[in-house]
Amino acid sequence: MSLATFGFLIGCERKQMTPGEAHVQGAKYEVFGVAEAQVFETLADRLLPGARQAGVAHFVDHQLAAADADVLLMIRYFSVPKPFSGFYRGGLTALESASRRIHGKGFIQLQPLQQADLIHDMSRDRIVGWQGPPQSFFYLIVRNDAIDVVYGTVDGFKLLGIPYMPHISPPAFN
Amino acid sequence: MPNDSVDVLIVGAGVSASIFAATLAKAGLKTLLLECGRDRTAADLISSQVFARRNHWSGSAVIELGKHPINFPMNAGEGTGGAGMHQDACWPRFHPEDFTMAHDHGVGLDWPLQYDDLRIYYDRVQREVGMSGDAAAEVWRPPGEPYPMPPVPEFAQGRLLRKGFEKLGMRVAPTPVAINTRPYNGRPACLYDGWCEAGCPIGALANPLTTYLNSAAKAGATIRHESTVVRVLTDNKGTRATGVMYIDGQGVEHKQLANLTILAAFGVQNARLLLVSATDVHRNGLSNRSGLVGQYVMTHLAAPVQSLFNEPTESHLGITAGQLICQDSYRKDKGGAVFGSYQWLIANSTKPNDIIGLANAKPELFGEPLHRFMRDAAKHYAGIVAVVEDLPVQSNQIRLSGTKDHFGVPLAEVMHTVDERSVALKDYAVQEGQRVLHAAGARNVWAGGFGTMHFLGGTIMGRSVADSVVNSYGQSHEIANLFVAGAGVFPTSAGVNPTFTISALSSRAADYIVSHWSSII
Repeated sequence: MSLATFGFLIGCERKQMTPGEAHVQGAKYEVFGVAEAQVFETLADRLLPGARQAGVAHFVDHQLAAADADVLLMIRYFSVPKPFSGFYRGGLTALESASRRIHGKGFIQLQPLQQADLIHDMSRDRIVGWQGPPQSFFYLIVRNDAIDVVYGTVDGFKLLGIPYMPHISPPAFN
Repeated sequence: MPNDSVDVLIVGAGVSASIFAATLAKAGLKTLLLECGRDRTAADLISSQVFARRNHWSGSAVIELGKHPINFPMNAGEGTGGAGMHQDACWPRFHPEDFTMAHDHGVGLDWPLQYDDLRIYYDRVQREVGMSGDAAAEVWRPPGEPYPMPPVPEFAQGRLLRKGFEKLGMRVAPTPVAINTRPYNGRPACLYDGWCEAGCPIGALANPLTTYLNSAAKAGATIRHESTVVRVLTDNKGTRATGVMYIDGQGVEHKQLANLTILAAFGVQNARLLLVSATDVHRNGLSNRSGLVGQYVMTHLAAPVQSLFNEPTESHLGITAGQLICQDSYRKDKGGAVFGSYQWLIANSTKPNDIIGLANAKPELFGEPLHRFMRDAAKHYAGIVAVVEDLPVQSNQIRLSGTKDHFGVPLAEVMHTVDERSVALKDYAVQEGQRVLHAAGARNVWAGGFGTMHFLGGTIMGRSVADSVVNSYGQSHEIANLFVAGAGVFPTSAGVNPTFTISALSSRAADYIVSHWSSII
């Protein structure tokens, strides 16, 4: 069971579905461009395999379009200038630039080991010439987005063998 | 047109605001709370670390400077109950030596009151709210009434970690918490499922929604939500606060008159309001003749030491505050460059995700190794966290930025760099913590990075207008009917969580207002 249901755009109609369902059905992104979303979900899925299928790109995209008080992303804990889309866009652009500079191709075209090496360097602020939000902070935020959609759910708790025990379940569980 | 005048206007609807509101409304005073966030009920408190983020700040930006940012949005709250909605309800008392640090050691600042001045208010709040713990087992606990409820039970994590402390000759006690272990005042007992930070919808944890805000509403106090105060108003002489200007959810500006104004928003915003409310009489901001508004901001250093055991730890059970505490190292002077107090929070209930979740115990892991760690940690993780005193440093301060928010109010800039003695204290604690976890039999022990937790200072209390912003009641030295509440008035941070002391100070100040009403206004 996914994180919760949210209103995603299928064509011109907004439908309640989980981020994973939005991924499968190809719901329209509201903030990310399609290419940005591909880089983002590739990064997130490399950080935590399963994040792509859980709909991490649609979840984050949906949250980036939300009112400030409704945002459910971990980034709201930190004093990052709003809109938060600038942070994500800046990080993704910096990652893509670094990938092309170092390997001569975009991040999603890299071999898995090359992606992992780049992420490893990013997590330690070691990518030379990085131009975007602090590398390790971008790593932290996207890593936690991936963790939220994979493990911050009833199914995620089940995978770990621990009970969810909600007082009030997120909307998808009602 | 100004709104109808009220007796008491309170900015904010969190822990301190709710205590003032309950006490003053019960005394027959017409009391109004202006809260910038949304209305919230228990039904909004969804059991999810993701949805729980709605309990944290999303309003005007705070510009964070210095080596150790205060993480304002994470520590602050908004909406009904304020930051009190994501508190863990870990409520130890401050120690007598916390109030006299400068006198005793020549370090930091002294408070204008002593523990004994606050003791009866700790006792009163503890009775009103309901607390659980074992006063006798807390050998370090200052004098006070025993807790009205027995302590939270120990689960496997607590039992394992207790052994480590005891092997090193250290003492532990059940964590004193504002959480029911049996039904109390119409609220049920805790289920020990660890959803504390999501805001406990059953009311076992004493968040403001189910305690003092409830009492305040019954006594006739009202809350206006989505009402952002942008300025405190004073009379022409500058000797009396006359109310505030605020902007409602539709963007309409209102003047709200009041006989008495209490700033009980999160500490940064209280200082910001004093600074932006400057007048010809108070050119540097209200209550700022000392020049100290915004200065001496503090946090706590939260320093986790983490481990994996071979045995099952059941770390998903219990309460977020932890099952046990240890204050054996509370004495201030530890020799050399190490100074200040700290306590251990032991065996905190830990969810898979979020900032203090299992996954962030090993932030360097990603990919399949992260999955492997998660499967292991879900069964075998155990941790302790040092709550470390952050010494007051004058240059750690709140200033007004040249940038303004969408209401046209200058943003707050907050500079915070931890004093080297506090960093040394944190390192001292972490080394001790690693010894404890090894002694407990953990198979793998590591120290996490430290973070900043809570927010204190910026509108400090003291004995005179020369050395402080407010007196021991939070009353401005310069404007008698203007009060400041919350941890912003603390001159030192101590080495324990602040919410119980915020509550006791607020209870004491509210009593003072009632008993001195005619002379104050």
